[in-house]
Amino acid sequence: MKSQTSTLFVALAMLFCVGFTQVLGQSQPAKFGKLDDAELHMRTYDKDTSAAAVVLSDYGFSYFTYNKGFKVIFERHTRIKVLKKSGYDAANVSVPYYQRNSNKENVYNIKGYTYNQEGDKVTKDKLESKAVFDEQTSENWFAKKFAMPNVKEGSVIEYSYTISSDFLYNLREWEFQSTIPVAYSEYNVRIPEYFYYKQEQQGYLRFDVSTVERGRDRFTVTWSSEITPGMGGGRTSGGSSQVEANNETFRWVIKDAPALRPERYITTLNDYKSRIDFELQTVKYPGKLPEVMTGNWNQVTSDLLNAERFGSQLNRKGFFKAEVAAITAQHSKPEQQMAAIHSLVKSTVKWNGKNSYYTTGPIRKAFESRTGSAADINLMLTAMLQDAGLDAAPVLLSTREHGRVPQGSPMLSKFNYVVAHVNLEGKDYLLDATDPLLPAGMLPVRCLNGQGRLIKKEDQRWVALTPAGNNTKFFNGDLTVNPNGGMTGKVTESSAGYNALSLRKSILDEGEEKYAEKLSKEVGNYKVEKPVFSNVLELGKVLNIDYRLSASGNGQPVDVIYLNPMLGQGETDNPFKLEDRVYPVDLAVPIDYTYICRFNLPAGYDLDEAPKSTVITLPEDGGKFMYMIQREGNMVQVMSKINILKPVYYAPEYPYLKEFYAQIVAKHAEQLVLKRK
Amino acid sequence: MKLNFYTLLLAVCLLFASQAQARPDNPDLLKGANAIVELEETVFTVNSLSKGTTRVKTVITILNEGGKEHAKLYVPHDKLNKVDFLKGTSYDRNGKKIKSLKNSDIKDVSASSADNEVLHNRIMYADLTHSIYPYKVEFEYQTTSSNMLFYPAWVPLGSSKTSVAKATFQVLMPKGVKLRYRESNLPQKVKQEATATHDVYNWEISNLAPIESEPYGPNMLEILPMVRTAPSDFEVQGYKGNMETWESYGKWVSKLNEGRDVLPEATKKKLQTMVAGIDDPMEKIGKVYNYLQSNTRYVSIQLGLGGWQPFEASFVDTKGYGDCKALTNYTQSMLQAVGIPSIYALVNGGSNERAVLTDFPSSQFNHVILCVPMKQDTLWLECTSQFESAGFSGSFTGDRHALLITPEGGKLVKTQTYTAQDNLQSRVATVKLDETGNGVAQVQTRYTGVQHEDHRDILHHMSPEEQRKWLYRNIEIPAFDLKSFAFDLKKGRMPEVSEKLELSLRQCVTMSGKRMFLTPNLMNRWSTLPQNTGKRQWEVVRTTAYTDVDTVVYEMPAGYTLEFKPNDTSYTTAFGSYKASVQVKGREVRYVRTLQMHKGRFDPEVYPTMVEFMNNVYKADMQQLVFVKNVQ
Repeated sequence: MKSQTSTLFVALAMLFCVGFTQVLGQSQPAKFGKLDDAELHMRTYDKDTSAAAVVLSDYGFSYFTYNKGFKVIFERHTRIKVLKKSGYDAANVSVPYYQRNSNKENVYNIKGYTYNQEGDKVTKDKLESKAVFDEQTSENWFAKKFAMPNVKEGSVIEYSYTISSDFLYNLREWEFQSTIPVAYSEYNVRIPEYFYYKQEQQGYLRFDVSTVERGRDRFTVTWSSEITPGMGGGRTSGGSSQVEANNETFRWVIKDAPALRPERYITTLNDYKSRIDFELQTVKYPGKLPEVMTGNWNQVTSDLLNAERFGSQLNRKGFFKAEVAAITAQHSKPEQQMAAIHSLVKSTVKWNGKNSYYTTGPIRKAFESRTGSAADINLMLTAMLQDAGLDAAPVLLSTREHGRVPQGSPMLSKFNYVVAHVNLEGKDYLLDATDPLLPAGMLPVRCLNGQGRLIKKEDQRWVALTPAGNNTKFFNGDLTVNPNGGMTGKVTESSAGYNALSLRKSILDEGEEKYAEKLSKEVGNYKVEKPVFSNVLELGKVLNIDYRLSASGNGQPVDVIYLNPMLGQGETDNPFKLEDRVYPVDLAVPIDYTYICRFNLPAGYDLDEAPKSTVITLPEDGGKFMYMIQREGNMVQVMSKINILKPVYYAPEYPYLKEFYAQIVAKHAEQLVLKRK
Repeated sequence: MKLNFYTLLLAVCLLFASQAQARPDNPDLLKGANAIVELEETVFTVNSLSKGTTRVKTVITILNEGGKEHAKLYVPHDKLNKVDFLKGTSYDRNGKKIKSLKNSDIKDVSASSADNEVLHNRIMYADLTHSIYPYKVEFEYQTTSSNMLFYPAWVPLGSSKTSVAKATFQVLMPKGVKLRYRESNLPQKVKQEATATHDVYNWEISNLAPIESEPYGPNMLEILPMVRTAPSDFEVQGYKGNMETWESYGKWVSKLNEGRDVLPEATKKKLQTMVAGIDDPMEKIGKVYNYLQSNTRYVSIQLGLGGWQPFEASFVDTKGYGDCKALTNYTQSMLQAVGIPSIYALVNGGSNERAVLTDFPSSQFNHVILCVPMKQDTLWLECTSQFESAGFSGSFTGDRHALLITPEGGKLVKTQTYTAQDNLQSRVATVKLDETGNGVAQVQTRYTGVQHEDHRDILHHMSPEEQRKWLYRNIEIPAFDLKSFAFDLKKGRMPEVSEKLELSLRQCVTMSGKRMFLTPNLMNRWSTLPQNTGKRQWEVVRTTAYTDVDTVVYEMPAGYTLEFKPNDTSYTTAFGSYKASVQVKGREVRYVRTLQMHKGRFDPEVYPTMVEFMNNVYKADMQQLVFVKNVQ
């Protein structure tokens, strides 16, 4: 009886809401098949007149049912206005779903219509079920694909579908933003008291509605005699019973979400999108003890350290005992041992390109097959470091492409990678052995993403994933200028830090010989010859390229010689051209470019003009540009140094960064003028 | 992907390419190779006009990481091409077995990726990658095809940095069924033999070292050893045909389309009313094409007859979408309804597609367009685009052969070609500079022919905000602000985009003490310089012809005297010509630059001359004027 009253109440409430809809416009989700004339007549979206299409209403509802176990049902209804031909893509829909072993997701009740205004008539084209195609996209992923019929400029399309899922762990997430504007987006989630999900909200937009309501759910639980009932336990005879449970219904609404557009220098666009994610924390059935799915970091740390494909692997040390013993016998200092073990893992196991924090299987298998995922490799590294008696532990992190990790209570699905941490006399080292060119203590750029979580019983904390080293380049030239305006001389280009990492990779990928061939070419007036590489494989040392540089002159002596002292090496283009920026500029690694070149002037010529020395700084020690010209007798030395000191600049700092580079570009274009005496 | 059948063929070619066989005792084969195909055996057996079996066996030694793709096998399949079996084993350097493929190791995935694509094409995929080199992989598999439109192409050296010790190709034809083949770059021709039941064709090749591609080189398919095969008589799902001539092949395609052109009466009426009173056929075509563009869209759903048969015109009429075949067929039906005959035409779409081999009638196409014969000339319609100008056929379908399909048969013709003058970018800029070296520029540019395509696309696919960002990325000026911009597209046989920019320039000239430096080429400096590799093996191929004309007029700040002015420059070569001149009159500097690039094929020896020409243009574009401040 009770439930009937509440149904009635809900129905009444709905009635009122419908009433309001007429007055307030888009404050409620659209109802299937009920179109507003305004939606059909709309020619542009006034909040973003450039929009090619706009999501008028996007409504999602997740709730639980019981049928031989709990399932999550997700219903979605989307209505889209197509404004321009370039918005037609919105009418091609793909609904991905997942299946693993006997657990599956089912997509059903797919309905859809396209509405067009033709003259004073509204035509309605149905999405036919035979126009819905099923496709397997990978081993476990499938998709229902459909193209809405008769889409034109001005069409309104709407579709709805339901997904039932056996996977309770990941309650479906909701994205309030898209690459086209979203006028109204609402997500409702009704969760029975048995389940507790952690919610993670992200984005730059505020919720227009965010409420929780309490209510009751009723589930019919049936079981046969030979099956252990899902909620009970133990062996019983067959039967069924009605179970009532309290529930909470969450409702979130965001209105007028602008279109999301990609920018340069970001981690992943997903980090900037307004969305909600869920992760199952505890399950508590009546009369049972709660089962923690993931909880506080203490619990997660302990669970991970006991997990078969994580902590357990750290205890399987038998198979590499001999190798580690050889290293500890050879090296006495902990730093040396650390570096030697890191080298051993790098040279033994190749990364298969897969990111993960759980191993694929026993790490011994990766050791034997000499190939493995990030977890296989770096947990093996951690185990070896521990075996050598070093204070080592794993660190969980999320790669830049995978997005930001929320701090606060743990959500394991937000991580996708693991590296090794070593504490040597209070100093932290982070090690990754997935790339043979990475020195010990340096993380690859993909890992430079905020904070990682140290998984260690007695030392639980976040560790900063900071770049070890900068993007360091050093150009050192010695040139003699001829009276005809040409010049010849020697140059050494040195690289360190992340610049050396990427340059080593290019040289090795191409082969030294090929790479040298590629460098030896004529670009305009400048000609590079005989490049020689040193320290390509000595990762601890600076990588050098020595070469001869010459520039052609006029063929005969001239009275005035104009000379760009940056020799084509300067900044010629401002990387920050747009007027403004919404997201932070995330460069990942600080920049340190130094250029020094000495010019020996030809006899009988004098320096008539030279650029002025200058120093430009970014606010709050964010960066510095120094440009200096010195003259000593017959020699002119030009020095330029660019230091970008922070890996991330926030949007308000953008104009300074833009201006900083504008001034560098201008300075680097300036010239030396030599005049015959 | 517009049509999937040729892609499929290519995929099969690549596959063949990735398998072969050889003798590791030949040291030449190790040079520059990441893998050696020790042995590749391909046997293609024609069972009947409608069925054939291909069996492939390969043994490959993988020498280093660069060769690891050879340890992966991809076998495409679909409703008409079944994989009968697939086996694979890997061995270490000592010949000890590492692994044999189990069924669970063989993945089966969809070949389509985009949301607007529905194909029945799938790929079986197996991976025997190992990380200690060298190691050996052996694959063996068999596929059975009931799409006998395609016979295999044999390309033993289809992968880069891979050598081939030995490869064989055998085709077994039932007695009385004729095989057609085309050999290219083969040291040894076919050897024929006969058994009681079959005619047998054998090809063999050995000791092939890797072929390296070269910048501006010909398409690899032109230079690799290759045998293409094709049927004479064939049958696909009950449709019988003959491919010996373009004419007979066209007849078969025409048969597939038969009866699929029926439009609902209401639509016919609507179209006829639409063009009532119009005499000019071009205007009628324009109306119908516009109707097509506003009522349909391109969706790649290619399910009928291996992706071969168009959806019926009435289907497109009700659903409003279709693939290239369906939309072309639909347009043809609509034009028919208003009394304009047109012809369905197969073409190889893409900006860098290999030319059709006119001497070897076979399925070489991946796209369909519509050919409308006019009084004076021919009009080509791209029916999958919602934006294209009626009759413009640029880098995607222009300047190549198309096969016209009529009930009487097929006929090869050339599509629209545009000259270097047609593909024009013509710009006039005026720049006013102040005494600090900053300035304001008004820039007007006209883009026509192939050169209008980038702007056409951004106009249709980008919002003004995105267009603005695109301009920031593409305007080649070191530091500027975009004050305003406007585009105007004039559709037509020779479409044209006019672009108007207002720029505020930052340090357009460089001030150094009393001197002022100006690089008069404001925004069109040559930037690509290819590698000048020593000796060149292949012809130099230039595929695009265009003309750029830039006129920039500067108003310089007062109080300066000219110190240096570059001489007028002019280069004329077989590849293109260049002319730049500067005139200074008082405070006005007028710069005019004309660059015309030609397309064509040139002897390998002239390559350094082309690089030199490009470097000369590069240098000329960097030339500066120097002014000195007047002494007060």
